[in-house]
Parts: sequence; C-alpha cells; structure tokens
Amino acid sequence: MGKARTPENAPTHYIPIGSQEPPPVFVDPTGGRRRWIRRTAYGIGLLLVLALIVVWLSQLGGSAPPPGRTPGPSSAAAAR
Amino acid sequence: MTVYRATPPPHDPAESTGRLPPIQRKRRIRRRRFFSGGLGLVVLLLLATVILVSVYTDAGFSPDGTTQSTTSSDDVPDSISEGGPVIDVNAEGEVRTYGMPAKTIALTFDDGPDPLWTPKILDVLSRHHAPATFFVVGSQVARHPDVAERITAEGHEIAGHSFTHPDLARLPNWRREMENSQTQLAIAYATGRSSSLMRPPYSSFADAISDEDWQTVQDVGAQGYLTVLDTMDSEDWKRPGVDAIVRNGTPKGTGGQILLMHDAGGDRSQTVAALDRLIPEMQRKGFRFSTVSAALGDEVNPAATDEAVWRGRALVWTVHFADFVLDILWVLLIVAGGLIVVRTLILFLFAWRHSRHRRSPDWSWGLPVSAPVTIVVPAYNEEKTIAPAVRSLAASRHPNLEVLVVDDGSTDGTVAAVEELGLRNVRIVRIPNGGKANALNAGVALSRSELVVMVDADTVVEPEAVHRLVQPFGDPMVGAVAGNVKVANRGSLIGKWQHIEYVIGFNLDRRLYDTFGCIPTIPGALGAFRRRALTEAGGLSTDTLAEDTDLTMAIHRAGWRVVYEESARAYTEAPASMKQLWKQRYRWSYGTMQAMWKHRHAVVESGPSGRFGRRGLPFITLFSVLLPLLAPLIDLMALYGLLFLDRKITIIGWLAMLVVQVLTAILAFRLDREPLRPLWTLPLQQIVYRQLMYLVLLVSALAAVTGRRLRWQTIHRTGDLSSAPSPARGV
Repeated sequence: MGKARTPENAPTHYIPIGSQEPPPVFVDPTGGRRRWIRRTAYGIGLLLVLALIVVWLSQLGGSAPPPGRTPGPSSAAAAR
Repeated sequence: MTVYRATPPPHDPAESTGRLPPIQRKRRIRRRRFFSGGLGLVVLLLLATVILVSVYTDAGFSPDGTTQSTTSSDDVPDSISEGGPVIDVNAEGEVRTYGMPAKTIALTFDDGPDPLWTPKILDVLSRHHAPATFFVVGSQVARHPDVAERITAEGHEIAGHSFTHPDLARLPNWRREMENSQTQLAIAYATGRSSSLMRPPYSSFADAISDEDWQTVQDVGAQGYLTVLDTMDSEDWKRPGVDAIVRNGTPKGTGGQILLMHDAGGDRSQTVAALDRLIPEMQRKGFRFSTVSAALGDEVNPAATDEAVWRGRALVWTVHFADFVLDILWVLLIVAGGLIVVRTLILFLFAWRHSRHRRSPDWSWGLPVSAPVTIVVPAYNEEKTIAPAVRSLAASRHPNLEVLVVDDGSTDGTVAAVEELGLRNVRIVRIPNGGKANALNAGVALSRSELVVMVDADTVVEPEAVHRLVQPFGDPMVGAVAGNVKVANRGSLIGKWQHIEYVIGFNLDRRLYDTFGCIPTIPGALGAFRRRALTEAGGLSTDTLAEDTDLTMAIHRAGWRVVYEESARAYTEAPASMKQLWKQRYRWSYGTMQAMWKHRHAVVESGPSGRFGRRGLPFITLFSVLLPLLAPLIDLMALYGLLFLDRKITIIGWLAMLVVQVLTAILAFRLDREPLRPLWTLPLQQIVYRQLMYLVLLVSALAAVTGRRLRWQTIHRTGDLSSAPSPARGV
C-alpha cells in the first residue's frame, strides 16, 4: 500500500516463498515402479503359496507304503 | 517436535488417495490393505513352515527313548520274545519271525547317513567285499542324499530307522506312519529305491520287547514293514575301544547273526577300525556277510515308484530350504548381536569421554558469543502451545534477541495467541501456507542477525538455553548446533518411553555422532545456525519429509562443523497416543532415508562433502537403519528359542540384552542428571514399543522402495507441557 515501512538500513527485496522445488526423494510420480514391484511381489507370493501347497500336500497326502514283499522268505531263511 | 502440515502435493492419481471420490478411495485403500495383508500372511506361512520343518527334522517333536516308561512284557507273545530278530506281522495279525541262516552275519548300521563316517565305513566294507544293511534316519537322508545314494550304489541295503529318531512307542500311530512314510520318500528321492525293512529307534533284542514296543511292532507290521531287531550289540556307541567292539561282534558258535553297529552320532573311528579287523577274521572263520533282505531271500531295495521319488524330492528340497533359511537367520542374528555389543561399547566409551571433555574446567568453544540472535518459530495452527513457547523464548537470557513467529497461514487463533502476549521483542509475520521448510526459509530471509535459532512452536526452552546454544559459534568452523531436547509430557507410559528414548538418543547417540563429526540431525525443536552455513547449504528444502536432517547433511557437506550443546535444554510435547507416535516416527524414518538417499553422492565426492559421505553416511546407515532392521530377529529368535530350544539359556540371553539396555539407559540418565525413576518402564518397553519402532522402520523402508508419497500429517496437540521447567509453565 506504500505505507509499510522498511528498516532504514535494509534494502527492499523479494523473498521467494513457495518457489518450485525439486520433486520429493523416492516418490515415483508415474506409479510405474510401484506397479512393477506390486506385480513382482504378487508373482513371487503366488509362487510361494503354490510351493507351500505342494509341499504340504506331498507330505500329508497319504503315507508312502513300503513295497509289496515277495510271498514269504525263502527256505534259506531259517524260521525260528 | 512439530509435525507440520504442508501444502497438499499436486494431484497424483497413482499414489494419493486424498483427492479421490470416497468410493474409489475406499476401494484403493482396501486393495492396499489386501495386498500388504496377503503378503504378510504368505511370509508368515512360509516362516511357520520353515520353523515347523526345521524343528521337526531336528527331532524337536520327537520324544527320546532313554527312559522307558514300562518294562512289563506280559502282552508280548512268547513266539516273539523267544523268536528271531526279524518280525513279520501281516495284516491279519499272523506273526512270524525269522533269523539269519547259519554262518551268516548281517552287519547293520544305525542312525546314518553321516557325511564323515558313513563313507569311511563304506570304504572298509568295499575293501572286504562285505555287503551290509544301513538303517538310516530319514532326516539325515534328506540332508545327505549323496551319501545315501552311495550306500545303494555299492550294493548295500538301505532301510528305514524312522525320520527323526523318536521313541516310536511314545508316538501316536499317525506320527509313526508319517515317520516311516517320510523316510520311505527321502530314500526314494536319494536312491530311487524303496525298502520294506524297518528298525525302530532304541530297539535291541527280541527278548527285550516291552508291551509298548510290541504295539509299535504290530502297527508297523500292519503298515507293511518287517521289523528288524538284532541278535548281537557291538556297543560301539559307548566307544569301548576297538578290541571290545571286535569281541562284542564275534559270534559264539556258528549261528546266523544280526550285528548292531552305528555309522553316525559322534566319533565312529573305533567302529571303522573294528570293522577292518572283524570282517576278515569272520571271513577266515567261514562266515559270509549278507544284507538282511538277501539273507531272508527277499528282493533287496526294489525300485521306488515315480510318485514316491517326486514326493521325496519335495520333502528333501523343503528340508534343505528350511535349513538354509534358518542358517541365514542365525548368521544375521550373530551379526546383529555383535553389532549391538560393539555399538554399546562404543556408545559407553565415547559418550563418557565426550561428557568428561565438555565438563572439564578448561573447556570452551572460544570467546563468549553475545551477537544478536533471531529465533524463528514456524507455526501452523498451534494456538494451544504457541503462547508458552514464545513466552519462554522471549524471556531467554541473551543480549539482543528477537523472536520471529512465522505464521504459515494458520486457520485458528495462533496469531491472536501471540499478539495477546504483548511482548516487545516478538515479531509475527504471516505468510501463505507453504509448509514448514518454506516458513523457516521465510523466517530466515526476514531476519537480519548472523545467528539464527529455530524452535518449534510446541517447545519451551530453559532461560539459559538459547544463550548456551549459540556459544559454540565462538569456534568459527561451527556452522550449526543441536540442542538437547526433552519430553515435556512424561506422565503417561508412552510419554515415559519416549522420555527414555530421547535421553538415550541425545546423551549417548548424539555424543557419539558429535565425537565422529557426523551428527545427522539438528532437531527442529531446538537448533542454531550460522546464516552463512544456511545460505551455503541452500536453505531448507521440501523434497524430503525430514527437512532438518536434509539441512544438517547439506551443512556438513558445505564443510561446516555441526556440534551438540547438551546444556541447551528444551522441552517439547511428544505424541501422546500410539497412532500419533506411529505417524511421527513413520515420517522421521522415511525422511531420514530420503535425506540419506538425497545426499548419497557425497560418498564419491572430494573435500568436506566426501569426508562426510565416507565417514558419516555409512555410520548413520549402519546404526540407524541396518541395525534397527535386524533388531526384530532378536525377538523372533528369542521366541523360537523359548518354544523349541533350551528355555533357560534363551531367557538368560534375553535378560542379558535387557541388562545391557538398562545399563545404557542408566549411563544416559546419569550424564543428563535425570532422575532414574522412569526407568522402571524399560522392561515393558521391550515388548510393545520396540516392536512398534522397527515396524515403522520396515513400513517406511517399503514405502521408500515402492515410491509411495508420504505427506506431513498434523499431530493433535494437547498443550501438556507438565514436565517442562516451572517458569515456562502456567498457560
């Protein structure tokens, strides 16, 4: 308004406020990195889940029987 | 320390949910929750499987048979007690026993395969052309499939001895079946063969079978196995000397024998030496050596089915994977433990030296500093706390002092609260809302003095604090000074925890960083700057959320010294709820990572910047990022040890860690002349607070990697400054 007084010994100058700053560190504005990481994580997660299922099923899905034996030991074995 | 809201970031459809319509926003948040929840669940399942498998294969769920519960053998038929060592119970319950033909010895080796001793025994056997039968433990086969394969490749017989060597009599039937089945699978994968022989762990002669053992023999028989006991015990597990083993293994008469020996479970050199004598001696006496099945006239190790081989592969790989993961965890734990010990020692040594140095009568920074000081107080909606803060600052004992409150477009009564005070040395300027860094820059630009002190609007200072804080500028190399910030609201548990953390952080860590010249942060709550240092560092920037850390690093890189003045004390309002604390710490750790990443090029630069980059940055990374990221391992392994390992040792180890922490805390409190009373909350802190802190670190590291945008969040203020010194109290 022309009425504001500045200190006599201080020259008037502009103070830039809210000037444009570089983009924040880490932030990925396109979201591409995030999408890539998410897809990779989904993929790895899915693989891990599949592996877990396979492992659990293979171990708990019925017991593995011993081979069927030939009927009775031969006469070479002395029955006691 | 003020957590401050900035201007909303430009709209960013991929990241921010803030400006989306409510439904979409909800959906996106739900998707994020689903994503992280699902990922967490998978990791948890994986870890659970790994732990389960490794505990199982290490016989963590297997009772041992060193003490027998019953010795009665009333139910055991005489035909068994007095029968041969091979027992055949068929599905109809018919019982038959067999022995070895005359002049035939079946050497049997239990508990293998062992990577060291089994090959040596195989060497001796092949030298004397003596086939033998190896009763292997399935988990050992899974760990050393190559040794198992060599057993069958050299014409010996391989047979089951359970998967984890438990006392089968003490297991439910389904576990017995599982043990035998998995051993069958491990053998199938390692050798491509199968076996119908089985020797129960802790078994001996047929006449030693108790009622419980008999039940096991019947169950195992119903599964289709022949139970193979022995008729002679070499007792080599006692390591009685080579002569004794040879004597024990020499049959009396010419009857066929099954001789029990061991190829694993400790030093088996006596067994190897005894075999080298026993076999030729027996061969000279006209005995022949045979595998058990061959002696019975059965087929030795028929080929396994493809299905068994595949299932065995899954089993062996799982065991290997679990072992691998657990090994890595242990290595990391040892590294983390070592680092913690080193860090504690360094902290003790340097904090103590630093304190002694500063307290010595001839310590001074240089000539006393009484140059004019401007205190810049950025404020955004701080009407509750700004009045006591400004009053305490204006009352500071320093000649020629001005308080400059920069109101960052507050929408509450902040300005009125300051104006009401009517203090002459307080100036207030209002700028459009632009964030804390922007407000501070404006404050610096609007001030004239060479020395600038920055104080948060929720912080009250001791009357001497500002004067003391600027004394280090007596040294012309000093560009910035960090003050000693304390928690003002210590009434609640969460306040006490933060109080402890602050005292340790400011009195140990910061003294250590000061000694090494790499203080990472001048706290926003209380810090002093030389104007030239600020200008050379380019002022405060908005590209990180920890603008204070960013600025401090920039000042380091510009070649200025950054020091700590512990006698300049300020009291700040710490977050009063877990949620607020979480937000604050999330921002701090994310911001610190941002600042370190932003200044990473310092590592390869020359001059003072490179000095900071090569000395300070690795130090800060190691102690404030890597070490806390490893900390959860200690809790995880403590839990694991408590459940599956020696409980006493685990508890002692955990308590030792606690004692180290208590000692550290006591030292910090003594250095700061604080009463020790709040330390009683320290044991509790281990259980909630610590986990929260590393969860924050983990989440913010994830946010950094995925490039998610974090924003300043407003922290709800209560205006509770009860522990601040009394002159500043009384709102």
